[in-house]
Amino acid sequence: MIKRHHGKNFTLLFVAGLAFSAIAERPRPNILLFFVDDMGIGDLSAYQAFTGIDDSVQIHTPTMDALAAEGILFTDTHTAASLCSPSRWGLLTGKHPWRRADVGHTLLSSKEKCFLGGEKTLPEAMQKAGYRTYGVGKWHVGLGINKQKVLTQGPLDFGFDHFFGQPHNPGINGSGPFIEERGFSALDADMKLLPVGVKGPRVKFTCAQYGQNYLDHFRKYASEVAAGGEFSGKPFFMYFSPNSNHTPYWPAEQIDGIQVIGESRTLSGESTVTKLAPLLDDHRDDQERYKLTHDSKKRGDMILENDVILGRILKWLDETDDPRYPGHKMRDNTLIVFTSDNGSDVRLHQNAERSVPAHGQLSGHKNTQFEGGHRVPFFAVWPGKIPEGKTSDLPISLLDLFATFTELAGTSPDEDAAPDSINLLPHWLNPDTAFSRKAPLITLGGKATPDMIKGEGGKDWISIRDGQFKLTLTKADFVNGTGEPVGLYDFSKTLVEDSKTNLIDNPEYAGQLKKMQKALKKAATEGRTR
Amino acid sequence: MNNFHDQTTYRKRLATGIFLSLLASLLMTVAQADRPNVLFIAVDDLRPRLGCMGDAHAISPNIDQLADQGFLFKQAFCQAAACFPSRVSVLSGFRPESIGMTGTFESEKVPAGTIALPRQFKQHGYTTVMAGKVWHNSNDDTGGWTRIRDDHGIRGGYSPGYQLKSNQDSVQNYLKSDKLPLELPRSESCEMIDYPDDLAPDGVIAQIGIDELQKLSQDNKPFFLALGFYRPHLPYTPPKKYWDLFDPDTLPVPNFNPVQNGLQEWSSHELRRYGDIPNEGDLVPGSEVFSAEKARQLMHGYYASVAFADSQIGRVLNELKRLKLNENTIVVLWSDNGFSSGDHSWWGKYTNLRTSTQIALMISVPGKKKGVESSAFVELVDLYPTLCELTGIAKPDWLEGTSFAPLLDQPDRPWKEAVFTTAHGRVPAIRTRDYLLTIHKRNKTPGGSSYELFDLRKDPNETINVVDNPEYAPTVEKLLKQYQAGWKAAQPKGMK
Repeated sequence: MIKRHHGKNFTLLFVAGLAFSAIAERPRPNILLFFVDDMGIGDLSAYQAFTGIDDSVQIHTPTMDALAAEGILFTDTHTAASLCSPSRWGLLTGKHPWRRADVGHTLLSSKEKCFLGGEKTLPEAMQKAGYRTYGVGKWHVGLGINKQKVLTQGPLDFGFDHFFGQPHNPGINGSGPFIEERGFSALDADMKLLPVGVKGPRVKFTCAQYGQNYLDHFRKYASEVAAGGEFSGKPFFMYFSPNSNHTPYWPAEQIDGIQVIGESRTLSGESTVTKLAPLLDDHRDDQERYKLTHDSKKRGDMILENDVILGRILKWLDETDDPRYPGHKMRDNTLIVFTSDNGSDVRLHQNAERSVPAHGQLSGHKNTQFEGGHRVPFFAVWPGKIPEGKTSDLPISLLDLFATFTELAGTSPDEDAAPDSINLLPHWLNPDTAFSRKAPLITLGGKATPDMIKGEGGKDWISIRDGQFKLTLTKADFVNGTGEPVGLYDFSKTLVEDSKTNLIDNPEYAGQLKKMQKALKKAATEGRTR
Repeated sequence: MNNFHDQTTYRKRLATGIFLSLLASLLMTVAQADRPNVLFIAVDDLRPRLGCMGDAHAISPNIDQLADQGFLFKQAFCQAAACFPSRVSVLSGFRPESIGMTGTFESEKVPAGTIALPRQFKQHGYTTVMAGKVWHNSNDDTGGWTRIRDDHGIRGGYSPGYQLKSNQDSVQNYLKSDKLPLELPRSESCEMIDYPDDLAPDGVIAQIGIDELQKLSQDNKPFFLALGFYRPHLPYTPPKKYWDLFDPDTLPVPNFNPVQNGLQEWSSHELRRYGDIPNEGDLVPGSEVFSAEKARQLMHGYYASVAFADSQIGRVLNELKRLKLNENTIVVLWSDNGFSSGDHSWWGKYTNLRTSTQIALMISVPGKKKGVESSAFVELVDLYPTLCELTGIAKPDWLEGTSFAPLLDQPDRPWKEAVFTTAHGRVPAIRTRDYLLTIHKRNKTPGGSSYELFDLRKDPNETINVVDNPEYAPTVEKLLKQYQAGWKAAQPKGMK
């Protein structure tokens, strides 16, 4: 078993912080949101105490674990939806995606239509609050590319000062065009952007490969702030969104000289290829095509890739002087939030009761309405401000980041912005003080895929939490907040969602069911929950 | 008005009763297979704060479902807004006008030879079983039951369900006497403890109900199963999970203002029997002794208790369905009276106002219309004749109610013009669609009247006694005539 250890430098930092506070007031923090893709709660060894996964099949994520130990680890965090696009849209707007008929469960990968614009966005709010805002990685909420193939609506139109990344996931043959600032064009074989309209080769890239760029934006920030002028004194908001560990599983060979391929290990020190892959090797209809992108032998290395990149970023933050906080390194005043856009895509192995290595005891997986679809890893670290070594079981939502980050920036969301976002800062700063998130936690399922077991979720599915209870509905009417209730679970007893644990037909819980139906109706008809 | 003290009538009735029961025993062997069972559910002090009655705050899904599968009476009234007399009236078939506000069926005011409803069924070949609060006095006509199941209630008719030792101890003072000496330690009005449903008396009653249905389904006799649930009667002791269903800040706040120009004397507050309630002073927010928080807690407790009772009732109804007994079982759910949660500055029942006298009443009858909501005036005393008619039992001639079985076939037919209720202190009242008139013996308004008149068209919440307004003099006169003509005259046409 891994033990949650205390950050080594914490006391020193704290003392140093106190000493300097007389000299230099701690400025507003930088914010790094490390927002990974399709990572299950069992994919992170920091959650071993929660999932109970055995050392022999628990993948080891040393950097993530060490960082999590410096802050609060949340065990009941939910995405807006069990699939990338609506989850990301929800995080960026602080609004439930089902409130918009054209967002809902949809994959927002259109090149012709950007799905932002009707709502105020988190980067806009941060920009307004005086932050420099950077985005790296997967976008996935639609782009406005006109007939001349020119980007008319993209990340820079919604609050990012700089952006580099991809519009959506790479396909089976590799990646299409990239977004760089206001440009949208193909990469050449050396990962350089070609002129608009020039067709480039298909590249089988990963986050690590386009990032010589993974530190580019951090360096860009450092030079911008050093240049002074309008940028001086501005903290950064970094939306760092690698495509790992989404399929296709194409991990980097090595990053900055650190070998990745073949290096991922379980906690007991064995190769994930031999120990984990056989357990993850699910079966789907389209086996041949599937093998090209879903080779389970490489999945462990995808997780390791993020762990390594996170380590490189932490190293840079640890080593770089903070120009706004004399005598301190960047790391000393950077709030880091680590989370994932939805649960793992790993399906139930035909011989396994549950796909434990990716989901722990949670039922389901990405695209389902079960916990495995939308309960994700989440931790928040801010040296000297957020207490270290804490675990919180407060139910929270990724929608809350909007209000929490804007509060950190010293402002609040505009009245007409982020209707479903709750400021969690009081809880982060004082996790032992009573805090209640006074808004119902609501999550959407994903898109039903042909290989999914009937009843797992998909279009028209929604769930709502009330304390320990979860209600799942299908045939949802999102305007009126109604639907056919199909699942009622009491998580104070077990997190498993199946026919044995389902209380939906139990008259003792009919009152609880009614209460939650009312809450959903209220959330839908009032247009906001905050 | 009351001719039951005539000895000849007594004997006739007794003879008729014996004859009918003999006849029934003969017919029984032939007809019993077809006769429906009866599941008779009494809920204590349930003012219809129910989803099916349009209360948006209430959480009562199981009762709502029963209403949806049967016939819901949205204008049903008890005859006396207190447990004892109301239940004696229902089960004897008499009105308080005839037998007084009696606390027990054994009272000499109830004519000899009167056969109570359970015994009626027993004599007609039914297995009759009771658990919980059916009679208020649990010793009433015990021979009417094939068996009485022990619900472990502390005392028949009152079962607080406390989980805390301190409350279990102090409630003993309450149980010693109906007039609690206020200087003794008193238990709390509310207890919010996390405990399993089955530890509560109502949980036990639900378990008994389930167990009995399983047994009775194996029997070849029809059954009359009576279950009496104790909540939402005070004290409010449902398990915490039912309190957690509500945000008290969003629950309704009653109009605490007393009735303007009112005559009812508010002397004995039922609520004062509890230790967290002051002995003296106004029990309205803003008074020196009572807070808005306490009022909110009591309102919260009431809604939580309704949700809890609903849940227990749901367990029984679910078992009825599981055993497929619902296909041949009449289910009737009723409450003995309403409850005033601070309305008119009054905590309790006992009045003629709607808050005290309007009750929950719904019936599901196999083969009859489902999902019907009726606004016909019906009275609790109608239950006895209705159940007789629906099960083919001849209606005894002393009954003072009207079977509403015809409404089940023809919901739109014209029905009663008025209902009659009696409040504490023998204050009778007549309620029509447009007016409520209460008749007092002692008190008089400043205008010298001994009546209260509420114009329900303008004042549906019964806040102002307008009797001193001379414009209403003809109305009062008309209502008094209607009152004197009595319940028989108010019956639907063709039944007078």
